Amino acid sequence: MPVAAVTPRVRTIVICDDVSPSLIENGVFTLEGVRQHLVAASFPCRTALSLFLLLSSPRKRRYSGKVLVVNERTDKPIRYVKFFAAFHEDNELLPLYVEVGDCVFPQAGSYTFEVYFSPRGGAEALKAEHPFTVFSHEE
Amino acid sequence: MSKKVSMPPRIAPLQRVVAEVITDPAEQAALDKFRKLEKQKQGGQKAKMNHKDARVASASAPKRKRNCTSV
Repeated sequence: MPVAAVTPRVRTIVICDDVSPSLIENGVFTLEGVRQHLVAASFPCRTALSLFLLLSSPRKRRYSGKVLVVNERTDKPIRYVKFFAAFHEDNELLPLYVEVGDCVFPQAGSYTFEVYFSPRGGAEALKAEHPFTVFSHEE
Repeated sequence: MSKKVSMPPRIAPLQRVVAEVITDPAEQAALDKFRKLEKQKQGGQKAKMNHKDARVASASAPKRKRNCTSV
């Protein structure tokens, strides 16, 4: 079976500052500071970014995930991080807030957040991509 | 006949994780290699598709009639 078929599916990917679950409704979340871009005063620009992911999996399992922030100009990642996503039941939707941490953007331009998952001891599969633009304050 | 009603998936409580930075150069290199291979595969598939599309287009395109006008 291909790796992509046995790893979680990424239903939603949002870059945001914080997420809070509703106190009265199950499965409802308020996202704060949702962004598609960043305006930097100078370079290199260091900023902490986080992702809200909504994942689904037909299997109860723990998966290893990775996030790479790739500079589109050079095709080189500027940030490599890993995390775990644990599904406690079959056919579960898992809302996950991943603190990617400090990303150092060397220049203005296009970047991509790439999300990979792998089953235990298995190969990686690219499951989601999200564009992100860094502007210079002068632009 | 009644339709089979599929159960909505269970929504788990929100999980918050602080991702761990991958600092091991070997692990980074393995990911870079994987990305490169995936890109090459995608490029190959794209080229194959383009080649196939071109063949289909040329096969389905109506033959241009020669417009010969003798003076």
